[in-house]
Amino acid sequence: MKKAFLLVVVLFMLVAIPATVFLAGRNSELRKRAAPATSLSLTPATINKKAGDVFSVEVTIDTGPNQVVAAELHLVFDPTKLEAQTITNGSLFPNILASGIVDRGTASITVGAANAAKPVTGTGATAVVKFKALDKTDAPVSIRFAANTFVGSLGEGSNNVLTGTTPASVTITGTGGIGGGPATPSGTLTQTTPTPTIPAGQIPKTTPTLTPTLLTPTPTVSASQSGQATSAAVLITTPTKDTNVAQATPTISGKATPGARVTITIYSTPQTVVVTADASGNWSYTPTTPLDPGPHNVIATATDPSGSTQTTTTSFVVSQGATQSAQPVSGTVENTYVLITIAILLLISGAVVPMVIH
Amino acid sequence: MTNFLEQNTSPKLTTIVSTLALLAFLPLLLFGVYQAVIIVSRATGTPANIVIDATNVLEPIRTDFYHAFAQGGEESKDMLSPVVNEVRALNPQLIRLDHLYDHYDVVGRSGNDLTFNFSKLDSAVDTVLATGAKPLLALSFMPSAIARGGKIIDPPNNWDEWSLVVQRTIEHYSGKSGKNLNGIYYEVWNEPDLDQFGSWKLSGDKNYLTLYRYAATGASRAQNVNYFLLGGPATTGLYQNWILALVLSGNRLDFLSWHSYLSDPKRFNDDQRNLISWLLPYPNYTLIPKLITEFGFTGNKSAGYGSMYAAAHTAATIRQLISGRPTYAFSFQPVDGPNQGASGDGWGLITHEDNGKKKKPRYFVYNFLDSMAGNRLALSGEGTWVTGFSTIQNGTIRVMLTNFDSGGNHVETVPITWSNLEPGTYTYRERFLLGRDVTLKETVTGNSLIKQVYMPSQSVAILELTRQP
Repeated sequence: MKKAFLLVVVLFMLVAIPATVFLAGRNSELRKRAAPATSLSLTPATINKKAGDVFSVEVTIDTGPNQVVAAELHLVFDPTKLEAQTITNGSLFPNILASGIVDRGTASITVGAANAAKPVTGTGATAVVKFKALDKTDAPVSIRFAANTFVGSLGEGSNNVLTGTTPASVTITGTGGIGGGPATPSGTLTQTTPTPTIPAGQIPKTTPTLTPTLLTPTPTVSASQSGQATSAAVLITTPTKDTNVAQATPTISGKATPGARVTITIYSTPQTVVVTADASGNWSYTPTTPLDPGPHNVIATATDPSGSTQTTTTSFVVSQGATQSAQPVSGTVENTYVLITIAILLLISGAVVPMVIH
Repeated sequence: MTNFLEQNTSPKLTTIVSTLALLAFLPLLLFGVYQAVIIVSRATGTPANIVIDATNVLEPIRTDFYHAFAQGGEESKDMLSPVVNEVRALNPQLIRLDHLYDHYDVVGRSGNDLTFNFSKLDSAVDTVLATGAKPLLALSFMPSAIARGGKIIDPPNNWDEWSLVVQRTIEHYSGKSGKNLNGIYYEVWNEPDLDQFGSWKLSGDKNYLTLYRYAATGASRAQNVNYFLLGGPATTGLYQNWILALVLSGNRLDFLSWHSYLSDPKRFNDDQRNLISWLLPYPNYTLIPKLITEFGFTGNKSAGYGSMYAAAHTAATIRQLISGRPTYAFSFQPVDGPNQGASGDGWGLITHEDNGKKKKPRYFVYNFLDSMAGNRLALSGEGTWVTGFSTIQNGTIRVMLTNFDSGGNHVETVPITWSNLEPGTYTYRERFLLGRDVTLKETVTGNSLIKQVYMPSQSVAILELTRQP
């Protein structure tokens, strides 16, 4: 009897263990698929304007299943063809958390839901950007999202839940109201095509004509263009997730497609840098500015030579009292004054003292 | 000269005299170089060339967030009582009180038990309520009855007693059977990082996180209370490690607070931007209220607080926070402490009653700026010294300009262009804070109007443009 009971228990365990593993794995897979499902697009997606025209572009969010609390938007575009005049919040996000900045080739703003009890769900306007068409384009130019665009959602921890972005394509013809005609009211722009999320792996038809001069302040043009990001093509291997690091300048390293440009943004005091994966696909970066003790998040976005992008994130904690790598310490203004003064005195003594003596 | 020296002095003496002369001139030379650098750096700023697009309407702005004030504790009494009418006229939304437990004799001891007497603090809170504001109560400092060695900046002998103090305070003011106040902010301590207030750290014996944790425990034990908010860390500046330590501490955290004494108004915008970037990875905390519970251009007493300097600094700071701002920014402080100079070098907006309760220029800036209510309009061309913003409400376009020079007396004549106007006749009003107020008629035949406005040093102006029917 005892033997039979033992046999039943063993058999039960043999069935239960793989079943549990399978179910847990499936739940995990479901979650993996459900979490990263928010996308941003620009509306209209295709714009035809004359030089001098002023027009609005709406940043539209589709939150998917996420409960979005905030979105940090960074747009990049060709500053020789377009000038951003203003950026403000859209109707879905009543809070401007960090004021809009328009600069040469960039526009950014951080917007938030009313409060955490009323997160944003659904589809609607995140922000509205007003542009001026500057010059005729030979081919359409794009307005797109920079890699450090971030969307935060309740229940998703520090993950960037943004997985897909859709740029806008702008064609500017030669003549128009140069000098700034009245702004075209929002919503009356010609929308020549709908703005679908681009299917996985498909590169948008927008010609990527951006030049490196567009990259300030974020030194990258690698807007996330994939409709469905996969984390397979870019990996962060160190630091591993949620570990404590003893160095204030920890080396962040990983793998990507050989030759891919990897944009690394450290979210604490934001630092963004672009590195290139070597022939073996390895890349690494050591922050030049020591990180403060406490938690830090890293977002790495790889743009492979074909132009497609993938994003992955990790987080780690810099321990209290972490050591800093040896770094040169710059002098102070006061030191400079003293050195200049000593130099002047030496010059004077070199000229005057011999004169006086002789 | 050379012959005379050669004949009458030894070469050694000449060398010594020359060296001494050079050394004597050294401070003068240093000072000269320093001044030259200041002059050169000041001259490198950009003058403003303001352009307002009358058709580019942006988000609505809030004009209540700067109607918040923090009263310090230079006297152990209800300091606002003598100026309650003057403070009420400021339309305050929130008034912060600190020194709760060392100035108002709240906590005592009878044997092993603590005793509580809120009568003196109640008077101060009632004065705040009489101004039309709600109190923000900074839970500071440690009651001497429970503090280690009786020192009010040290930890208590028994942390549970600190929890009890916080619990009883919340029950008294937010309790439905107490003062029955709703939506009260309770801020844990005041400037914990400052030596004067205990030099608390984020670890060790004087760990702010421990202080906060036991305060949160007390808050959680408060019974039969209305909605209230608990937060901190009320540090002397916005420090990432303090903010994130509190966020990650796992304690109840309903709002974040810090103090900002910054001469450069643009740094208030930088702080807001930094804070949001730190909080974005923590979605549960990204949207909680953020309070600058004290701000000014310096934490030291200064004659600037008695002049237009402070008014212009406040206006320039509000401009920096008009889009992307904290929930409230508390000006420090409504009324001077005693024994201040007649020039008004205390932090107050109003001089102490011993100095006649005189209103300083900064007092007038808050209500002056309220007329800017409306939707923000696109404004470009701000300069190094002259900054501003524009709004539109009921067809009237307003432009707030301030010329704030933190280190000197810069003056500027500013070109202002209103573009995309409808042709017609407009009423143009130009009024300066505590200065001229003129109204003119302007005819716009094209679609723009250009004016030149002289901005004296440390000045604040509002320009209004209304199309006549």
